Amino acid sequence: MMNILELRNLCKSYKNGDERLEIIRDMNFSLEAGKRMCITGASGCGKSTLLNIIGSLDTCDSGEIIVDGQDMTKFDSAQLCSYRNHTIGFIFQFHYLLRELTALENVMIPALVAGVARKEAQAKAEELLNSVNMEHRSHYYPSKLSGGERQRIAVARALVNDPVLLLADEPTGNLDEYNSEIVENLLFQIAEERNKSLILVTHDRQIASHGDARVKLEKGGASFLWVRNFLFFMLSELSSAEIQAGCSDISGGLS
Amino acid sequence: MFRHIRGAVIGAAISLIPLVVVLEIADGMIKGIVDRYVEISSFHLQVRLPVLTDKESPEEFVEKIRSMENVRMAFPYTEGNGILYSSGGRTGITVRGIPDNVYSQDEGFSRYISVSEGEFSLSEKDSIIISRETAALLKVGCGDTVKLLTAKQVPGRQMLLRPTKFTVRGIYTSGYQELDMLSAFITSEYGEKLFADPDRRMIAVKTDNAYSSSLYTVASDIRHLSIGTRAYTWEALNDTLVTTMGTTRKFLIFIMILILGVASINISSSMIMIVISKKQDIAVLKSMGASDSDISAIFILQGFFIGAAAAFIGLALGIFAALNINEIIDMLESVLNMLLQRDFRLSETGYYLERIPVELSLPKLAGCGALAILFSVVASWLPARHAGRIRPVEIFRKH
Ligand SMILES: Nc1ncnc2c1ncn2[C@@H]1O[C@H](COP(=O)(O)OP(=O)(O)O)[C@@H](O)[C@H]1O
Ligand SMILES: [Mg+2]
Repeated sequence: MMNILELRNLCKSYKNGDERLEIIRDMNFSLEAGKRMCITGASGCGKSTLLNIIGSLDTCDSGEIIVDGQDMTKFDSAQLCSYRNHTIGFIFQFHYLLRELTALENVMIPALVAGVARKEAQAKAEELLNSVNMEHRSHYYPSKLSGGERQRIAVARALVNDPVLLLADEPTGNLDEYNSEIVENLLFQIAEERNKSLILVTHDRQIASHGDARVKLEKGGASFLWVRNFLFFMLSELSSAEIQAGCSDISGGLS
Repeated sequence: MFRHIRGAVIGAAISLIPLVVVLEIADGMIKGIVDRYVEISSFHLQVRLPVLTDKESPEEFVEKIRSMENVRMAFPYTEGNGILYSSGGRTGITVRGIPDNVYSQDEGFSRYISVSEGEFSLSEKDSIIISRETAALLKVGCGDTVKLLTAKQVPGRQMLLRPTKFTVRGIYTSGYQELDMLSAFITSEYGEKLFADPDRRMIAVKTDNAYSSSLYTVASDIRHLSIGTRAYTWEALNDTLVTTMGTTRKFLIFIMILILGVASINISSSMIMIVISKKQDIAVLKSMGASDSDISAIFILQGFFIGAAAAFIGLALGIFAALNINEIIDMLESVLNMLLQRDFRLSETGYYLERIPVELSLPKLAGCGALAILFSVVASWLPARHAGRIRPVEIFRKH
């Protein structure tokens, strides 16, 4: 199986005044097409930073990110727009639906940005609303929807341009347990059905265990390191294997 | 957000009103004033004949000019300055000697002479027609006697001052006091006697259209009648007036455009508020692949629509104000008088026409509208660029 995503020596730090805050140091991992990876880790350890970098919303200091065979860190701005539009489907902790638009129109947005004809975009959006079981809410405005419903709309929106890689950053962070389960099961199910690769950041160990691979990000300096060697692409064979990606030269690095 | 859009539209619309009003009224007013000078004061063309030989006569020239194409009227003409006085007062005045039939035969002349007392008749030799303002100044009415003091340079002698008696036969107004205060009409005969220089006879000419190029054709034809014949167009004769009016108009328009410009700063700040309130949506759109220029285009387009809405409303209000300018001035007058307990006449300050003529011009209105839209688009350019540069991560992190 080919890798849909491959990180090579990814580094990311923030400048905070005079201080340099290293968030990701020399991270390496890969994800096979159609597989689902769960990322867990304490708050502030860099999970969102990692997803934002993969989703090209943020930039890394160095390293390569090979998505679908291409190093996206080398993309120019037009390529990045197309990458965000076609290759990636982003689901955030907050639904970020546009309040002036109905559920259906919200789902259509990425297709319209891509220049798809309105009719076609609508057909696709309706089909997706169906598959997230929200067809009966398609003409509702976000303000009239529950948190779980909004997040399901957001999932549909992420899928409308048929991206190869879904990035979900704690999509259930704002939901109650019941709705969390619905949304996360839905994500897994859709990823499975549509053969999408998925990276899901979650706090829920239970859910994390459903993934094909699991990465636990750790915070802390190099002194903290405890190394557990792993070869990620192999582990994808071992369903639900728990992997801890500590800071290490061999694997994912965090500081 | 709608509050901001509404504010921007209303601000720009209101700022457009003065421009529309000034454009529509200034031209009407200038046209009205200039037209009065052209029809009753300078006439379309003034011809100065050269020294005539014994075989030539001024009448001959008048006939020749009359038979020219595009010439409506030509008559011997004299003009001079003097002091008009009565027991009630005195005033400096320009007196024009014209034939009696000008008033009855020249439509352009009679259009601007409205007789308020007596009649416009120069059939009696000692007739003088004065304006309402002059009559008030001299405290005279129809039938009263006034005296005109004129100076004449007699060759070999000093300046000769002499008074001439006139009887007021008619009192007129043209609606433009500046002109009226300085103008009176007398018979050709007396004009001849008082002002005519036998070596420099003058002929006044009216053409079919003083504002068309045929005026120059006629002028050049007249110049070709004989060597030394001069023909001055009304533009040359009223040179100062025309330039002053033109400059004033330009200056006014400049100020009004400045007002529009200031209002577009308001659009700019409203757009900034809108961009700020839409930051999150912008971040979402960008995270889904919208490019910087896609986002900017949204706000430029919004600026366009704000400008278009403002143009629509502003033009409607401006046209309304322009069409009703006389009523608006009347209303202002009565409000002012009520507040100040005084009897002001705004429209009688002497510098304006009593009734301002308004001619709506479509190209000018379109220009105003286009300018409002252009300013609005330019004003939204910076906020739009800012919107395009918003970085989604920064917005999402704050949430
Ligand atoms: N722009 C920034 N400047 C400085 N520090 C930042 C910036 N963005 C994120 N951080 C820091 O990076 C760390 C990782 O943040 P984040 O990726 O959001 O963590 P997580 O999603 O795992 O909770 C945090 O300590 C956060 O304070
Ligand atoms: Mg996070």
